[in-house]
Amino acid sequence: MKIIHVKNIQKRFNKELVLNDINFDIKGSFGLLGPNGAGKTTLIRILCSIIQPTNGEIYADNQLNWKDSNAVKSNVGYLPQTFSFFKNASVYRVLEYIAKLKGISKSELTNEITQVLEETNLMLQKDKKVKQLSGGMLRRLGIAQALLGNPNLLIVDEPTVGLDIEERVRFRQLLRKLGKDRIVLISSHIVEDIENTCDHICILKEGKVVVTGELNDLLASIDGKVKEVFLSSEQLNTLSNEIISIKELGSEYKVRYVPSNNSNLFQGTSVSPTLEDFYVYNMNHGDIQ
Amino acid sequence: MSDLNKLNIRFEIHNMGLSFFIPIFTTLITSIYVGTTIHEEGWEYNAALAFEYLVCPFAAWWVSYLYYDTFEDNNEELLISLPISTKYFGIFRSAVFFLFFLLLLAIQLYVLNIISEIPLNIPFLLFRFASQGFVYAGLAFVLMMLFKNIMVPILAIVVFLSISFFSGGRPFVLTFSPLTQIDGEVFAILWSNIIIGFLFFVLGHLLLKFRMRNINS
Repeated sequence: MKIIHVKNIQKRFNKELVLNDINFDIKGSFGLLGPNGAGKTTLIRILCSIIQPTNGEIYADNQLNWKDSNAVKSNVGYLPQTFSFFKNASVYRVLEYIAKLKGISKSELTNEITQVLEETNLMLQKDKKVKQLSGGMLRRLGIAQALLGNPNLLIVDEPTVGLDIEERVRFRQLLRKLGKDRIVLISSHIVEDIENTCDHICILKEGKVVVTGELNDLLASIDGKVKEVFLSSEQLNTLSNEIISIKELGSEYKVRYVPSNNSNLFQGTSVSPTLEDFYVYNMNHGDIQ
Repeated sequence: MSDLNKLNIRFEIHNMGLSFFIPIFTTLITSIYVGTTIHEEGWEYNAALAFEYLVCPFAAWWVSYLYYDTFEDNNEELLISLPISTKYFGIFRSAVFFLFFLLLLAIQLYVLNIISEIPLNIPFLLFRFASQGFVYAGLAFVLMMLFKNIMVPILAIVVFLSISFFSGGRPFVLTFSPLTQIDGEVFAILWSNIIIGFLFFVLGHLLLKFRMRNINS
């Protein structure tokens, strides 16, 4: 499975339209970015076949159609935002339990579990109880259970929520590594998570696609549009709508911004855009597709 | 792979931790009480009450605990994403633990029959207490699906038992009859228990099905 096509997806909860005409292709390491309430989790639940869309279809290379919910569930590994159950059981037993639920046969069970424990670097913790694991280990256990059955698509919702900086970095590296052999979809409102792990992105806002494409191409599209300038606190107020980020440096502020009529007063220098610049730019200026 | 092959009872028991042994412990205490009072006047009645109040309600314990881990931290989302059916997740798992309760009850009644000076009708007594346990297990199942909180079924059963105790033994679910009483009145209560329990399980199954399709509800 190389590409998953998402076509004209709509989702209504009662009368509320949560997703409206969503179209994009998922491939490689794919990041789903958007503010809270953009519809990311709903879209992920549709991709995991937990809920069905009101309209539209999803399919992969003519091999798999999302109308066949059981086939999809066997091909998708999912790590939800919350993963903390079976606290009294050991890491190995949890994986064994979930492997059985996924329908992995007894003869393959031990090999499969050993493989995912090695892949997620949890071999030394296999006999530890879930309640004794740190936040990072718990997320890695979440990934390990998602990898059971060697799914073609791995979906991770808010991967680094609740992790400290060191654990975040390690977890992002793990996701990068996993993305080499399969499609990995990461949903997050943290731009850094997506920038460090994904090659393709889609930005959602209010249930619609703002922009989608390859990360490098998207960044190139705003090349020269982001500037950086040092300002005093009084000057800062005139730029309020254009600002992307501010860093305090003594009595001055280092400001990244997207120039408009107001900001032409300042002589900023052009800088290479980051995903955060692109994200803020599109949230403020992007046309919803 | 069929749903039955996916059952992993050893894991479910292990995951309940010490809570799994509470019904076994209570059964043991009740058996000791019944055994030590066997020569007292009115033993048949008191023993029956001990079963109705201290053994049958624990049929709900394991059924409630099966869903404790899943619902307390909103973990049902992951389980729903796995290729498992509503029947497996609800009725099958609950049925296995209700069978455990029946086994426990059967052993207790067998031992009681050995030490009892009067002959007891064990199949009838098994049916009598199993039908009551069936109502409590069904009630626990439906309340867990509805409220997703283990305290609700436990409190509901405690409140029900307290009301029936203080109301002076009006027969409903409980029969308040001696171990040896077998008549139409008792049978009517037992059959109504089976119907009520069955309805609870059907309602619980429908609620679970609804929950699995509407994850946010």
